[in-house]
Amino acid sequence: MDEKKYQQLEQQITPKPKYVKNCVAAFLVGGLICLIGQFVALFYISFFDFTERTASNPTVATMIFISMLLTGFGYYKKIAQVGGAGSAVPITGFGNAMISTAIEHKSEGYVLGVGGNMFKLAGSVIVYGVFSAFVVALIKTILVGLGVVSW
Amino acid sequence: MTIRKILLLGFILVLLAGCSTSIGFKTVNTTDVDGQRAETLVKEDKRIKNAVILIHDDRLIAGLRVNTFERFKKRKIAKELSKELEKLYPEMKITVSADSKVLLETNKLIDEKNEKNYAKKMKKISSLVKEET
Repeated sequence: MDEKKYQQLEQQITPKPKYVKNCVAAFLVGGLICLIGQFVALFYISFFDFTERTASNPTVATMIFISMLLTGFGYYKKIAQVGGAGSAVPITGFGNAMISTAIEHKSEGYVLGVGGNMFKLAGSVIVYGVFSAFVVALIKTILVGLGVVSW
Repeated sequence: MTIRKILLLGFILVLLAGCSTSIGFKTVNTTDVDGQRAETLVKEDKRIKNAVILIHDDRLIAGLRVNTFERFKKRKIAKELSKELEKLYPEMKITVSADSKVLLETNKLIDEKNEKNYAKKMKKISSLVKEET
């Protein structure tokens, strides 16, 4: 069997991913997570001194906390199995990425294992987030300085 | 009843409950100035679906709720309205916001019907709007 034949065989056998079904599942699960987030935000708006604009910070913290708990108890992977990207893209995926690596590398010790690996995936997210925010802010500052737009 | 049916029922209930909230337009005025002008100004604006206006002492607070797809421009709408209200009532401290917190709190304040609290609570709402973080 040469290389071409093998590739043909491989393409025949590999099951086709169900794109449409996955998209719908991700849409529903991601939407459900956002719905819960909206309720948390509403809770902070109605019972504490937060406005719609300032309520986002405690809401994000609460959602990350909930997903961290779910990851620790082993429920988040079940959600991820159904939702796929829908459970990874919202901020809850960030909490999951941190805690799951922390659990995975616990056997290597607390400093080099948990501490060193906790931010393996989340760290790059933070770095990219901070850097892109810096670039966008720089562009806006220049545009405001030139008088094209206002704050 | 299977869990699927209960979930479906809950889903429909939540969906329908979202359609029922309506405060409409409400104005409460404890001063001698003409509050009607502010109300007509807000009512005539097609972009606004709910509004609560409270006028007390030297303060005017207007909480707005804009139409769903105007939400992207809600801060601009509030700013425009604030300018027009300042023209109508130049001697007053005016707070206009499309933030739902202002609408909720002002509505709560009016429903309590305790006029002694007005000055203190209105000051708090105005300071909340200025909060950035």
